[in-house]
Amino acid sequence: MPLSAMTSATEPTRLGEEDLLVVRGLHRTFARPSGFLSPPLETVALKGVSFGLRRGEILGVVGESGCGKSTLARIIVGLETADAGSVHLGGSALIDVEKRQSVPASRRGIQMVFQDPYASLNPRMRVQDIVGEGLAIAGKLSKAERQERVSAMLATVGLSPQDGERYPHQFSGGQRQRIGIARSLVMQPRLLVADEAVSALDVSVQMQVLNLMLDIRERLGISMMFITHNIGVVEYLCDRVIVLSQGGIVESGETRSVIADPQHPYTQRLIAAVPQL
Amino acid sequence: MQRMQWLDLKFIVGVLCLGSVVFLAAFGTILSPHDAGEQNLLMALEPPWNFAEGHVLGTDHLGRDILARMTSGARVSLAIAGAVVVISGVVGVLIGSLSGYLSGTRDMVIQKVVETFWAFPPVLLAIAVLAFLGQSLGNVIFALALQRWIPYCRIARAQALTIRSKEYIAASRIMGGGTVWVLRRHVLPNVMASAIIVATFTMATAILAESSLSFLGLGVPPSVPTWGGMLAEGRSYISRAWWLAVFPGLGIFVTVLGLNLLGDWARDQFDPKPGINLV
Amino acid sequence: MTSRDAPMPAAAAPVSATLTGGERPTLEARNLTLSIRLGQRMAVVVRDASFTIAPGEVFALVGESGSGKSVMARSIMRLMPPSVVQMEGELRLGDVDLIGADPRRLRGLRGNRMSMIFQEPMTSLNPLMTVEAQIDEIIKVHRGGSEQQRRERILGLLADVQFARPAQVAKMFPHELSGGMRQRAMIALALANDPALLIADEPTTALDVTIQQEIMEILMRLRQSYRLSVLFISHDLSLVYRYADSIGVLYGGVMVEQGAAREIIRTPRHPYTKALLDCIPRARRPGERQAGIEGSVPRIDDWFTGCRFAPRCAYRQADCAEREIPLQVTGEGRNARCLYPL
Repeated sequence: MPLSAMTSATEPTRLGEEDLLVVRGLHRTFARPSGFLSPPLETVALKGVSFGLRRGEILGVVGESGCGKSTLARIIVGLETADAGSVHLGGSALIDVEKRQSVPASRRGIQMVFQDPYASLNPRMRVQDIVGEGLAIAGKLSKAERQERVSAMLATVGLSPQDGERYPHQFSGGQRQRIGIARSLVMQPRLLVADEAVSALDVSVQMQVLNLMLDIRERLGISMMFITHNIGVVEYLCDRVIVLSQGGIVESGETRSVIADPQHPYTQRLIAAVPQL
Repeated sequence: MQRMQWLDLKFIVGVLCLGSVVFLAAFGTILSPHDAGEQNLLMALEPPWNFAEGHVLGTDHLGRDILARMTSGARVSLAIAGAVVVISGVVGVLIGSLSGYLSGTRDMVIQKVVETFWAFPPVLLAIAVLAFLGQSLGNVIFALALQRWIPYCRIARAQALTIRSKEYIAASRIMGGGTVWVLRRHVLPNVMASAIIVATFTMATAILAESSLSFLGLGVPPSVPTWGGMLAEGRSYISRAWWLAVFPGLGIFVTVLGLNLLGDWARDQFDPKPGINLV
Repeated sequence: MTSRDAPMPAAAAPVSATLTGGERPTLEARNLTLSIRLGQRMAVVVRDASFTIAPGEVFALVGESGSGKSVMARSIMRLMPPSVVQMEGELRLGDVDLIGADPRRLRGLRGNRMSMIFQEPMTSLNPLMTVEAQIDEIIKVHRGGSEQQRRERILGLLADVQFARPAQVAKMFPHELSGGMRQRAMIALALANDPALLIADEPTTALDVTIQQEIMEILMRLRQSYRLSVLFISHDLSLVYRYADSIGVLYGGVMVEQGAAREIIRTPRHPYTKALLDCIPRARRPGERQAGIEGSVPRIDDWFTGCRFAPRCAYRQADCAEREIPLQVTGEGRNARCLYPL
């Protein structure tokens, strides 16, 4: 049984054949050292999170703010470290706390799409430099080759190559999000992690970006982990979903079955609170 | 950022003030036939506007031409202040950006050092350094730069602290951007605008401080004419020959005013306008 | 020619789902046009909007960014000086002319007969004052009363917004409260003087869905017990569907459709309203796609001729972009600004 098929976080974890990403027992505590008059403060962001993500699937991660979903994403992409547990991608370890292993972010083959279409693009850089930044850091391609890749990627996300000459402020929120997606795709990642990638967008634009995500999966076969608080987005986009509450997975499974028949009280509350038309 | 407003009164007056000082430094020697060190006791304390002898701004107690000495003073002031601004700017911006970007323990350590430097009264620190190292142009620049990198450092740190949490920095790190890359591509360009504003004000204080040191006889070697030195010498003649002190004083005043106006103008330009963002 | 110059068809009379004959509406806007200063010139941000809100009614102003809904809210509160926002048309709070009112009159109205809550509670809560002190201040300014009376009123208000221990919360500072509690404290502050109108500008957007529901339920209970009219500003149609009596859909500064909430959402007549509803993501079959709306919202300073939505409209006809679109009655108590309503 692949790890991704399990419905409860407490089942024994096993590496499945179909799983691209396998997360086991991820643990993270944030500690604030004691200050002048304040005692030390510990918050548990993640307590033993285990799940699998299948090749080619879009996995939704839902939960209220502070449930640890952003921390989870940041650990997987390499912006944050874990206290315990392991993360494997395609069978090789990215993080293994026991073995003191941690692959640098740039060599993980994972890219991220961010929430804020304004803060995620450097306002002083041209779009082509933003999209080509990762390639420039890697330094393997000539400038002309980089340009070519960037132009092709801009076309893939529905922008024109001439847009590369412009600056972020000349674009709308939806277009900026496309630029951010192009930036991550140009690195040819095996997994895309999107953290609330459509929640700052207008409804009319949100659907364009969701459809772009589906197109990308179809055409490039990229697997995705999509973090959101919007149940509607999960229903539309995600094949399977895991529900996080207070740092732990409380429910997981096929999107349709989880939403139709939520088992955990928190999931039930979450779904009941969404006004249905 | 909105479009630069060049027709601003602050900008015009600032440019006129600073321009006249730069003009004096550049072409002062053409205006005066005399050399700054050339003594002529027969012509001592000649009042200004003596066009016949070529002493447009008069002479001092040793008969040296004030205009020629003013020119030399302008050059010394601008050179020292310029060097101080550049050196302290580069050091301050780099340390500040790094401190803010790294944050955490390393930031705390750097900030403790900054605070230690800042705790000394500025002129006292410069005096101590000069007394220890001896008087020379290089030492004056060093002594003045010793504290003037701190404002740059503070502002760069503050900016870096806000920038570091931006998502485009996270994106850059995921794509493999190291500290040097992130600083060069993302942090420094954002800090430049504020650094330029700080630079104008730093230049003004550096000129004041250099003059103060020269006035106290601790600046560049006494053989080099400076505004501060001239002011000190002119002090004892103030009741008999006002021009000895007034012209160097005017030089300092005009330069500092010009720099402050330009700095103020630059701040108006770079700062986000208190506009209303509604839609 | 702008539509302001055109004679208003009879159908342009404001509609309200719950206004019963004879009763004076709490808020009435007629042909309201708002312009804000953009550098040297004035740009129209809302054009020719008419609506009324009856006592106890929840009127939702729905729109995406750039629709002008926030300018509208702040203009009704008269939070921006005439030099920044120019108002034309009619705007009345009960019998008070809000456009003509002088600053002193307005100060007497704000926080008293009309008040406002925001997306971010910390914008209206003072971090240095306890909850009690803040509410006390606003009561003192407008209606006074003895210390005992004010204290009772404050505890009553805090109980009304569902604080289990009002006396305890009263002594707390805003930073000691959670996001949802702050929102409730802000509501208590806004209701301190029993206002006739409450403007709620995206009050739950920053909150988790479960807390969002809690806050909305409180607001709904309060509007009944206080007979409060609510101008509810939101971009979330499903939230609006659940809680509003009537809806006005703003698009690019124009009220494109309005009427009873249920009807508008069940049978939208304006193509924009329909497209907006179709944009709400829901479950789909494999291979199936929901259509988004191509293009983007028009810029506020770009007033092209014709329907604001025409460039993105799937039902566009040739004449949609040729002239200004009059309001059309599209059903009982509802209208739309569309030449070819669905």
